Amino acid sequence: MKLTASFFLTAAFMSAQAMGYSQSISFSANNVPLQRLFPVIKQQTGYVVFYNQELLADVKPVTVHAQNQPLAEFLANVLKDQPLNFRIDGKDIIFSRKPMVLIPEAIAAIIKGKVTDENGNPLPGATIRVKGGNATASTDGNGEFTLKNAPANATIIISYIGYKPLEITTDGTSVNVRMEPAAAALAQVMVTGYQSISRERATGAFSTVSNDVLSRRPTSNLSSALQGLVAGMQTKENEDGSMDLLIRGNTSLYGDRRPLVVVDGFPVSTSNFSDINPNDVESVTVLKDAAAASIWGARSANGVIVITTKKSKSAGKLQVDASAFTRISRMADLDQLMTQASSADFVAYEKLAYKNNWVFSPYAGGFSDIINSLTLAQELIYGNRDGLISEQAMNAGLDSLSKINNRGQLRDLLMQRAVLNQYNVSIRSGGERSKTYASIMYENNKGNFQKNSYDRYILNLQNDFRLAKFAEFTIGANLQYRKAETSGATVSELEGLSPYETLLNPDGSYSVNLNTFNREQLKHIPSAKFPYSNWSYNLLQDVRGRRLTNESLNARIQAGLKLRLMKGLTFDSRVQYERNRIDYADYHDESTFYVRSLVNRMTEYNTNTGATGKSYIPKGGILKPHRIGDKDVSRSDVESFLLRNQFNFDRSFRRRHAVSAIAGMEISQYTTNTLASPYAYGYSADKLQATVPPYGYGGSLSPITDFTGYPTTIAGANPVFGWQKDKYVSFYSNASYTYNYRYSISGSIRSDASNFITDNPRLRWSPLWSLGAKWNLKEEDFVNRHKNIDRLELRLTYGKNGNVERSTSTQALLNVGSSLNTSTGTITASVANNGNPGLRWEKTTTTNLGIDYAFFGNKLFGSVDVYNKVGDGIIGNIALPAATGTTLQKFNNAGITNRGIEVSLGANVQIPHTPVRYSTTVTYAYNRNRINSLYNPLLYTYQILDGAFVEGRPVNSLYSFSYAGMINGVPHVVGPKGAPFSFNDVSLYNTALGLPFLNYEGTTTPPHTLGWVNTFQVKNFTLTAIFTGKMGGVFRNQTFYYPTMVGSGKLSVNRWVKDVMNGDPNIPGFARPNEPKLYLWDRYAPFLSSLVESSSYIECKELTLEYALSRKVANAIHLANAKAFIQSRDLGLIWAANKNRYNPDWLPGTNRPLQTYTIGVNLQF
Amino acid sequence: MKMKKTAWIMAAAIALAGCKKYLAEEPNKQVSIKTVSQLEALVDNAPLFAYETNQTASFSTDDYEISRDLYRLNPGAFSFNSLQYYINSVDGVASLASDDLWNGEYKKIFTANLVLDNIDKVTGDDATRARVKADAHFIRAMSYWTLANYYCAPYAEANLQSLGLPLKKTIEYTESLQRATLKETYDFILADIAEAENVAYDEVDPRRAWRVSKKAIAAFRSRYFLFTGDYPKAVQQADLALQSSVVQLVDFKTIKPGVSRNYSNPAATLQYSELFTWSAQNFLYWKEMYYSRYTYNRSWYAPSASLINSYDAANDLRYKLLFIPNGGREFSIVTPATTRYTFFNTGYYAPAGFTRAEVLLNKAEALARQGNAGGAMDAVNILRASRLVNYTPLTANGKDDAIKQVLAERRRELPFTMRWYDIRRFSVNEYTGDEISVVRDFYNMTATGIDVNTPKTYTLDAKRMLVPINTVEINSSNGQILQNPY
Repeated sequence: MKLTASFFLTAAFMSAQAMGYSQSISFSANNVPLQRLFPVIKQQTGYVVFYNQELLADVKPVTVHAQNQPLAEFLANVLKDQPLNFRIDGKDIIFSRKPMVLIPEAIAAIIKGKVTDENGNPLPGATIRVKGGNATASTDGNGEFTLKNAPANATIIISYIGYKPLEITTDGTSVNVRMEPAAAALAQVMVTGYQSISRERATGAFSTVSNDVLSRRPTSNLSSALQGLVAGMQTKENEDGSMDLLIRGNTSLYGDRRPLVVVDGFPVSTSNFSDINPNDVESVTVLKDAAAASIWGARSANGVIVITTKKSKSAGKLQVDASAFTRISRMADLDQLMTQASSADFVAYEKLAYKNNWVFSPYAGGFSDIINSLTLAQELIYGNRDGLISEQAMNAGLDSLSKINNRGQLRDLLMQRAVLNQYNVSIRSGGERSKTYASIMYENNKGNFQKNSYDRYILNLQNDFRLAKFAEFTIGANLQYRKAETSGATVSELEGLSPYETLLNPDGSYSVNLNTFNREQLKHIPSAKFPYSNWSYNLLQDVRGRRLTNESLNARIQAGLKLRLMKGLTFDSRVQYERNRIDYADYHDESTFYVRSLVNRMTEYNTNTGATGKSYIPKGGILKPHRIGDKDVSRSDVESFLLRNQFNFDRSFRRRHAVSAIAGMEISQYTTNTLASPYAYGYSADKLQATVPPYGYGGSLSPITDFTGYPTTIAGANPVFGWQKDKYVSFYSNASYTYNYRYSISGSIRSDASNFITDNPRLRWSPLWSLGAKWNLKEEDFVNRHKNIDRLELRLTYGKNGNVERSTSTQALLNVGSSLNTSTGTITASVANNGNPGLRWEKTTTTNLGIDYAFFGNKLFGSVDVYNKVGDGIIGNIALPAATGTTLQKFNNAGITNRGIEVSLGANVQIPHTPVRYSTTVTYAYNRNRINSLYNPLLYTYQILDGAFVEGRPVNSLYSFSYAGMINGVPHVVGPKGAPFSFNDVSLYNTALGLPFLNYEGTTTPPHTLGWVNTFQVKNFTLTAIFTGKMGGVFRNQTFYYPTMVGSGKLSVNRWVKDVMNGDPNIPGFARPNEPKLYLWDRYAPFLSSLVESSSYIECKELTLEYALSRKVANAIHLANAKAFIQSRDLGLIWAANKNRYNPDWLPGTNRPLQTYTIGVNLQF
Repeated sequence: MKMKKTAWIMAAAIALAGCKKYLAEEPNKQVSIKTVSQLEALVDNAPLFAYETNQTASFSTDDYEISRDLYRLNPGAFSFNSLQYYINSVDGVASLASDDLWNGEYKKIFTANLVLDNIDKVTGDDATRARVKADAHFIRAMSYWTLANYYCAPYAEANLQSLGLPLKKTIEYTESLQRATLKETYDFILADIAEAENVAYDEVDPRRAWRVSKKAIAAFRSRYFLFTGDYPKAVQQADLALQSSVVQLVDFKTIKPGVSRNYSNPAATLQYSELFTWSAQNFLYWKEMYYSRYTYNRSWYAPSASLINSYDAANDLRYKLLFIPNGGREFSIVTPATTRYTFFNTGYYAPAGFTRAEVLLNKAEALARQGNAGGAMDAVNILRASRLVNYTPLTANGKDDAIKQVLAERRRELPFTMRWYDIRRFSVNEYTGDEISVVRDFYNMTATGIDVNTPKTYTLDAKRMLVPINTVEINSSNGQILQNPY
């Protein structure tokens, strides 16, 4: 049994069984009815006999003489000649009819043996039966069994819940077997983080992913190992291969949609799994419905992911596990990474655009054009126009540009093969009084861009001490240090280069990459008089000249004390402290364009006299905070503290009544501190020197102008601080009752309060609760009769979960500036939120009906769940009359429903006549998401296209324009009242209410998800193939965006220009000459309905081949276990509904995870 | 068993410890309103209050004109929305997606109400408290005054019982939004002004012209009394304001040339004044301002021929610096060559607050309407001296000529920003020689587009001088807010 978190429950269970086998009976009688024995058994042993009256009809009277005979032996003796079998289940003795198979005495044999778990620990209570016969036995406390009445050379089947059944043909010698844990669906306990509930009693919907599966998916981030394994958990992949998880659909509009992540009973503040060593994870339990998750109260509406880490289990043995793997990625595909047109198409479009005068602001060749960067082709075109070069030279130049392809250089100089190495060692040891688990992991990673890398160390220590018979103490620490560099080029920087701009000239010098400045105009100013005479840009030079780093340190310390107060009653006091600090530093040395152009631009210049004046920024490198979103961050520091006190009660009464209950309270607080340091100008890393801008930072108090004469300010004058503290107080209780193993009911209640919820106690303390019931049909005779049914359980639950939305408050909130406003020279504030006087927790009510089943000797198993999640009081932006001060305010006034079905089906079969064992798990889920109430008629077209929330539609709905074709050379969409509306007028896009004329296309969150895990085992080889699929969603294809030639930044032309050149009638064609409003077309063009396609696809996610050294060989080289594996991940799409065979999650222009090859070993000493 | 006992005590102590006290700590600093300095930071956020996005002022008056040719050749240069204002459509304007002026002013009113709601509850020094309170009252008064002059009937005895504004006095969502009468609206504005005056500083703070002062209140009153026809009081208040030693006329001869922009096809070089590049950090300190208010319009102010012709093109610096011939749209020039009016920051912002220039014109007009032609011309000439090269004083021949000359100067000095106000009040005042008719020679415009083959003439009528309230607003108020009668 590998139930670390349920240690005590397990212990209690084991001792009860051991006790049972030590019970014995003394009784003598001749020819008495069998029924007479039952009160005697009960009196002497406490065991109760269950039987069906019909069964006893054929029973003969018995004669028995027993003196201190063990119960099992006594029963076997009594029933020897009767048509009855018995089975001991807990404290119950259950009779059943004996199949009429007679074994000749002569060939009957006794089979003895021992059953252990995967780690060699005895497995008490395993069932052994003869295949095709009726002899059965179970293992005792030492895992040993004796099976009588078995035919010689019988095939026996050994089964144990949670483990794969084994078939063994005996040869007369004793049988020693080691059981392998079964796949997820058969796992055994529901770990909620507060308690572990045995599967038989758990009423909630949950999925467990066991170590057996996780250990076959080597990974850097646990979330990527969970993909495809849990029905109802939707995944969205990130660039680093980690996953954003969504359980049973979106339940919130503005609140957190991520599940709560709990590690060893405590929620962790980073819910992206980044500070968890995946090798330390023993199992992952995903709590999905109200009965399972509601114990987490106000943070459980998105589901809860409970991670249990490995602990030392066995006493006396020292066990060392070591593993290592190397993952090598394919070289990045620049066609995937970039959307740019080929050089030939690019130049062709530029010629066309010039010919047709498609300009935003025409290039006129004056000083005002100095920050109007052209492209190399445009330099030639305008050079010819302005008489600087001949037409012949221009054509020759354009011709040669259209033949250059910079991608080879980009690949060689900026990119690399991504490589990840991970090494992990863990040690388990323990004695009678103390146990230790320790692990250390080191990982280093090179990204697919040069100069992107990290090193990561995780140290984990878990100690359990048994202080006294009634007291146990545990303490654990998890420390992570990660140092990363992110100086590499970015996709947008690559896209910033024209496809004919190389990085290096043939002679090895930096080639010209045009950026910001117009070279023709630079010639007319005395550029050498500026601080840096070199105004040129080169991407490679910038990448080489910068060093962007971050360092993070994470510590998580947990301690707990457990006291046994009386039989069945324990008290737990646990505390967790967590600290997560990240420091960022972005350094650009003075060789970079970033520094040179900034310093030059912040220099006074008189266009009339050509004189330069003050230079507002000192020369030298710049050290500055990192930009995250719209904020500068130098340091982020999250500190959390949680204390929990809990009573646990777990006891059975009169054999049939099992009661388990917990009650407790916890308080917690989460403090976030952020800092953006002032920029260090004139910084030199080797001298550790910096200077401040000598004339101030600009603004109304000391106005400064840049070299074009415009007023400006210098960034980074002040440190900027951020602070937030969330506090929670919670009381909770949970109880379950099981009658006679058949019927269970459970209930939970929890009340949370926080400092950011209104202090009105009615709203602040609103309790969240759940009820659940379970019927174990297998215990019913009418089901038990069917040998092919191994498990059949019905679950029904109902309850409420909460969610947190932090952006509103009962009172109006301000946003107060942290430094002087450059316009007013004062501290300024604005109203951040007008206030939501009735703010309360968002509540989601879930009803869940589930069936768990296993048939044919556990060969086929799984579960089906149907749920209805109704969120009300969800915070939504509700339309108000503007006279109230705002047109939109967030109130607890919206509703969201999620309905769905989840099916998980597993099979585990030996393929006949082959040595192949095949096991498979298919998980399928459907989720229908709707915002069923949200009063907001004031949705502008652009907001809807941006994914605004629309009443009656799913959370991630996608809308489009109907294309009405070209009218007089200008494309039109269908606007209000069906009338065509011109691309040249943005008012339809910006300020029209869009719902009446936009088309609803579907949802971008695919409602159908599929995961399929296949394992083939042939002798020592195991092949695992994992497929995932998403169906029923839609996505938008990219398209051409009709750029204008000059004036709105350097021109970029994407590859879809080809579609326009080819005259695709579903998208706008090229504009007529002199079209002045071409620059507005990209407001409409990307949103045409013709670009929307189904996003359904199925991909092969992983293929792993593992070789386990046979035990004999392993032992010979002093290893307990040895495995080696090779794996390939992200093998590609098997099927995609869209015509381009894109992976809709990773459209062109995204830095998607590439196919990787992994090789690794696991050793156990 | 000692440990057991400790555990029990620990559990009990924690459970009993006041959760309420634990939860009383604020989740964020500076976010909940606690101090006077936070409220002061609110009223110091000039961009929150000083800008007025005002389509009516920009497009609905006779200062703006789109010639038929200009539209026909450049239909894409004008947005559908601004054209609804241009032809002064009732349904077209009411059914636009939103109304920036209405929404913006009510947001200011909310902020002022938020300040007033908290001002007596927060900690801090009392001098600052009193000053911030004055600011909040004045902000609210200004917004109601602006709204009343667009959405309600012009101020006249006959109109006092007509529909005024929904008067929001608190931050409660549940407060009634029914429109008060015009009289109640003006009474509320006057009460706020009186409240502001009780505590206001006397002189304009040159570094914070967005904070109210008694001089700013006097400037406001000179406008207020001029609009209500109380000319002696208008002169009296103007004189009070003109005593300011901080607020001065800017001599336009000192405004420097700014950057030039080159265009090709057709080729043109546009020469802007330095004001063209001024951003808030400069123009908030325009020293003519008693109180910071700017009309904001991202579109193009296309000045009408009559406005352009009203200037002495050779000598009037207002014309030479602010009217960019062939200025066209922001990014390109158009055919036929069309002038662009620009004040601050690419021409997006134009002063709409009380400037020394406006106060002089208020005084001049009030004097002229009382028959004091000489006094009126003196006031006007003070202004003209700072606006013209080769300045020669104006003289007037009697009351009618004085009124005519003063109003002409007023139009030249305050185009776009004051014109709508003036059109409205001239339509109801007792003097009949000053009515302005706004006539558009344009094309037939329907809900779906403009038919350039069907010319149509639009004339602004008295009813449409009340800007229609947006339909979305009326609907989301559940009918509490009534539309103006048309």
